[in-house]
Amino acid sequence: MFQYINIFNKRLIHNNITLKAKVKAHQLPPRVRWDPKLECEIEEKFLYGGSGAGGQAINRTASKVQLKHIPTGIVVVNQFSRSQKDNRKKAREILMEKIESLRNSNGKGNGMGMSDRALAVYNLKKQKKLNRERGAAKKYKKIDEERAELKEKKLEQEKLMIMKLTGKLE
Amino acid sequence: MRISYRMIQKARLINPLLPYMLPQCRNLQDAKQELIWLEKHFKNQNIQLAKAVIERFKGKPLQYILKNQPFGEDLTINCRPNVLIPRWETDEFCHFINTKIFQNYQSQDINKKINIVDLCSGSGCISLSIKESNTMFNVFGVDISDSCINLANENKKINSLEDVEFIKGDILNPDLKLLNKLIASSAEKKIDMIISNPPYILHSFLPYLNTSVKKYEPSLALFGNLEFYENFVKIWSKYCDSFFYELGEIEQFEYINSNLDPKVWAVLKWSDSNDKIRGVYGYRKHSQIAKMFDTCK
Repeated sequence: MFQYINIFNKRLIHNNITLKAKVKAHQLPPRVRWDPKLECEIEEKFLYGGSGAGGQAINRTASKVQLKHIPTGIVVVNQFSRSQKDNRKKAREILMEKIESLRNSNGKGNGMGMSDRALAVYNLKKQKKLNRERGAAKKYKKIDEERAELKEKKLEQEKLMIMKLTGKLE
Repeated sequence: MRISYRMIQKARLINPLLPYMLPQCRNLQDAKQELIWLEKHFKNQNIQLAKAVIERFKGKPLQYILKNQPFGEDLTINCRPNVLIPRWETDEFCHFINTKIFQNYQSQDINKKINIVDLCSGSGCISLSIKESNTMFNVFGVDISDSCINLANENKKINSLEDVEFIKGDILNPDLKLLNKLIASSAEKKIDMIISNPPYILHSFLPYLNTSVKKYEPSLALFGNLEFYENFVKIWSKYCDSFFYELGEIEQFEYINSNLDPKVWAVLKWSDSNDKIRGVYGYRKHSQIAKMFDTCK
């Protein structure tokens, strides 16, 4: 009886923890979007890689877009697409994320140094990892127990064999 | 400069195809990025991918292998041999023209349909990107090469744009038929703006050119000194109200600046975000279109 209650208590606590940390993928806070008002606070540059002749003389396939947010001094460099427009858009998204994380650090906002969405995604990943580990621990516990049983059985059999051979009890 | 053996080894450890990208890209980061684009294009086609990588190793431009280049807001420009590949600087100055100059078109109450002529249109990238962001304008492209006109028309069809006309004609010696055609649509018998990316690399610069440019791209679209700028001052400036020319050397800017009448014309420099002079633009001071330039200074 006592044992049963103990297990029941454990379960309750366990459930409570999972309920608290539960985040679903479709319930995440909205993505951080670029604010057009910030357009006047940034300095945009296209880095063609080094000085010297550009233009028709060199056929560059990739060009970096560099954004500098003047009030905070954050610099973002991006080069992932062949399209200048996509690069500029992506760089703005990254910069916005960084500005948002600065707003949430030093005891302001959520105080974790991340935007709300990034924090939620981080929690989700953490929870998934934890669940995976817990599952794995359960599985391997079972297997280990079975192995231990097998080992014991083998030992007993060996003992019996020795007894039969020697005709003595140890 | 030679690529160090250590860099080649490092690249080989990441991907066995990566060392072949190094001679053209010169550094590991760009090489990785280009290989990613190639892998995206040749999905699950390993033999074609390997062939493409070897072609790139020999110096073939990436845009000719992938057969297109994104440009402007949402355009894809097809690229083929015999036509110059659109450059980043061209993209940047198109963005400048669209956002800084033509943005003022509606706010300044200019009550006329603007017609724009793109000289040396090539693949048609400039005319198409202007048409894309200003659907109200009349846009013409002029080029001397047949393959350029064909490709430009193809690009127009791909991006489903209409009312852009590409005309074959000699820009250095324009005949009356061509000029009349360009002027006909406007009431004042003038071209409102000439935009051009003429060949501007000096012949003396040939030994220093990259192999991918030297071997694969048309020399007709690359080499020239002052021909097109002289030609603009002597012929085209009579027919237009404003202009934007891309350039490579500061002499070309000075030629235009000194040879246009300063009482009539205002001439300005345009430099890219790396503070390098890349263009010259100007307008007639007393024309209607000058309003658009006044606010962008």
